[in-house]
Amino acid sequence: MNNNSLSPGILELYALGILSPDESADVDHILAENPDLQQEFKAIEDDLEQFANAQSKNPPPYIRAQVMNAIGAQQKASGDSRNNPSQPHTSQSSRYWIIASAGIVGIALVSSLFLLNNLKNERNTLASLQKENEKLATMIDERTVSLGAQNNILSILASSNVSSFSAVDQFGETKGRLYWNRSDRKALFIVAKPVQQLTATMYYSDKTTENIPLTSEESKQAYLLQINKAADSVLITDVAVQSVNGFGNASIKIQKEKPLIKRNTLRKINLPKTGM
Amino acid sequence: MTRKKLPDIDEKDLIAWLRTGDQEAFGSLYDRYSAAIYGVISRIVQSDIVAEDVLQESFVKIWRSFAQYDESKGRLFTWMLNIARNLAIDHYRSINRNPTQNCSACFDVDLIDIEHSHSFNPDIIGLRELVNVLKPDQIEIIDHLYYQGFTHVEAAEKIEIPLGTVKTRLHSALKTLRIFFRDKQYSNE
Repeated sequence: MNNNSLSPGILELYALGILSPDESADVDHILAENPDLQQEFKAIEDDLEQFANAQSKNPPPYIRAQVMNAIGAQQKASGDSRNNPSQPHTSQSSRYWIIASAGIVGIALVSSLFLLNNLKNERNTLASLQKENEKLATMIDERTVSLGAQNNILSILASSNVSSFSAVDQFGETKGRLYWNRSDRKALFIVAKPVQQLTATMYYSDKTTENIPLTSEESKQAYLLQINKAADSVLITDVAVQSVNGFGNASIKIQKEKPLIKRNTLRKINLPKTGM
Repeated sequence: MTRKKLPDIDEKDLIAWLRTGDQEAFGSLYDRYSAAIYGVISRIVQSDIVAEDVLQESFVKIWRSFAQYDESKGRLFTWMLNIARNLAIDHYRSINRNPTQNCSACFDVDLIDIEHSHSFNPDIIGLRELVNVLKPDQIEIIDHLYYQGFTHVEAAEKIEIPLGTVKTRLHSALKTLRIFFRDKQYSNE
């Protein structure tokens, strides 16, 4: 370190108590000789105090009482030990009682420290267990959602009324598969690769339009479509696929009566070659 | 010593009062700084139960070590805060048993659990505002050095940047905060 200046950041590290003892000693020395740096150091300390104040949060009131009790007990213990030897004319009997009292106080202090330590360990364990519990609760929630999603998928796939169609892009490459359950008008679009987002607009045979947010059912790969109207045919179009590499569009027509859709009437999915 | 009620008493008088060993002085010290220190501890340990223990332990340690405090080397609050931060980081590491765990959540304002916290000081500057004024790389440095207790050498290795960059980023982060606090003060006047 230069005797007259410090590189940027050193004073901040010094204020945070992060520097090694040798580095801190160097900063002490340089600061002592440089009033400008002393001013800068004070400004950094002010910054750190304001930063801490910005996170300020009132502790529960009982903590204050516990702190004051703890320091009161410490002060009493240290005061007793300081005062005892200063009794000039203590009788043998008194000395015996003082030694005995000191012993009792000592045992009490050791016991208290032992119990306090145990209590702290217990509280640490409790905090660890609480964290574990939170993690487990989150995992259970995720599993429940996942199970629900798989049930939805199964309910469509297991139906005897389901038909499935390949979705291909303009190059003839299969990009996914559409499963259409005629009985409950649910469709499941399973894309070949996970995508970030899928949205669709449905055009019903009665000329009405509906924007459908597609719900990702499993790992951003299976999308459930609920067709709300009992229309004769539904054209699902403008299926905007946001994949990792960009956007694409798909249009799929579904008819109510058999055959729901003919292979050659399936409109090709127009997706970027690198997408999905 | 004349006993003054806070916040009238300045830090110099408070220190002199504390040197007398008066418990009332220590009570005043607690009243003055406990909220700021508790806030920082809470963000480090991320548990109210542990934060309460660490706060208590910190103030007992401050009381016990007060003779070692040297006014010529820095402000009382800086010294106290470093004691509390070090204890909080030790507790966090002992609970999580993984000192290198990414603690970027420490600076994630969305993790402030208002329902379960006790009471926030209404006069404080919003931490969300603070996060908004800092750049991501500055937040990362504050996260590692201030909340996770990494040394600058460890932080440089962890983030994979030169040691000098760690220092300059910390320097620029505090400069940014200083400008923010100054502007905030002017706008409040």
